Amino acid sequence: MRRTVELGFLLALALILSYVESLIPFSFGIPGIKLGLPNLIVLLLLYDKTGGAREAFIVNALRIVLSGFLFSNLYAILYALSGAGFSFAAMLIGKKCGRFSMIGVSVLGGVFHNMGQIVVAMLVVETFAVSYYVPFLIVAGTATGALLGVAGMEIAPYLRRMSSRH
Amino acid sequence: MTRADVALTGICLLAAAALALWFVVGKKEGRTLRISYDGEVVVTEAVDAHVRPRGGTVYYLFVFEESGAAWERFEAYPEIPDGVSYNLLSVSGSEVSMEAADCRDQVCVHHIPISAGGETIICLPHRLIVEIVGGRDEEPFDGMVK
Repeated sequence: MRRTVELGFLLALALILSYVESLIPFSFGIPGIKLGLPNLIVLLLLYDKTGGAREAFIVNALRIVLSGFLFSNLYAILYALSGAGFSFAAMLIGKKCGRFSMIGVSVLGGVFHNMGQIVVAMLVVETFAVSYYVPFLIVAGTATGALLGVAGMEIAPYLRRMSSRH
Repeated sequence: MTRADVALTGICLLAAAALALWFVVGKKEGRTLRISYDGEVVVTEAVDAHVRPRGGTVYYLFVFEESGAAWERFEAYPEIPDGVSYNLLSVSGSEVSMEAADCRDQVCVHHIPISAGGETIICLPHRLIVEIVGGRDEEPFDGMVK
């Protein structure tokens, strides 16, 4: 029961981060570049000793559906789900192989999130023209992923303390 | 931060740089503006600075309805009807940019103006693709093709 409360709390935090992100006018003239703040919660859950991949996956999926209906639309939910699917799979594999720290795993998540969205964009508009954005999106995914990884490493000890305090 | 982290970051940045370089080397000077709706080419227009001297801006207004899309070319900034689903594109000299759209995310409107071959502006909600294509060999034809 206590764990359910904690996960609810983290889900709420992820939604707030989605909202904060939607408020930041962060446009480079290249579509698809964003900070990916909510992924911080997914990253922390993935590294949480008591939980793990299953909990991270559930919170991630709920976060996308809820923030989609709150702040955008059905279209955006489909995009976000595809990006998040790729991203989550990459992060899980990256973590399982054991060679990366939180930063590397987060970079994988950032890059594959963008690649997932590009693939869906190609399928929707039926063109390879969007491949023009790939280099920009790789760089953006790497940079934002690394930043979130550093933040995650700083925050993780506090989250652990919160979880262990009964 | 582990060694694998550094390697991964390096590989990502190198891959991006290599791809960017490949695009730049393979870049042809754009000669033609091509607009596609729902996978079909609906408009082609020469965007050569020699064909259209600066100052002569033209606009394309796309209006989307349940039954399909309608578009029109304007020599001056057109008036947009109330409450319609639309995209307004401007062509100025050799630069093409999305002036306005009614969609919520405004991704295409915030897009930087495009002018070089291979560059695109895509409006996903309206399934509209605006791209610059072709070199000299691909003879552009002016005006509208329906």
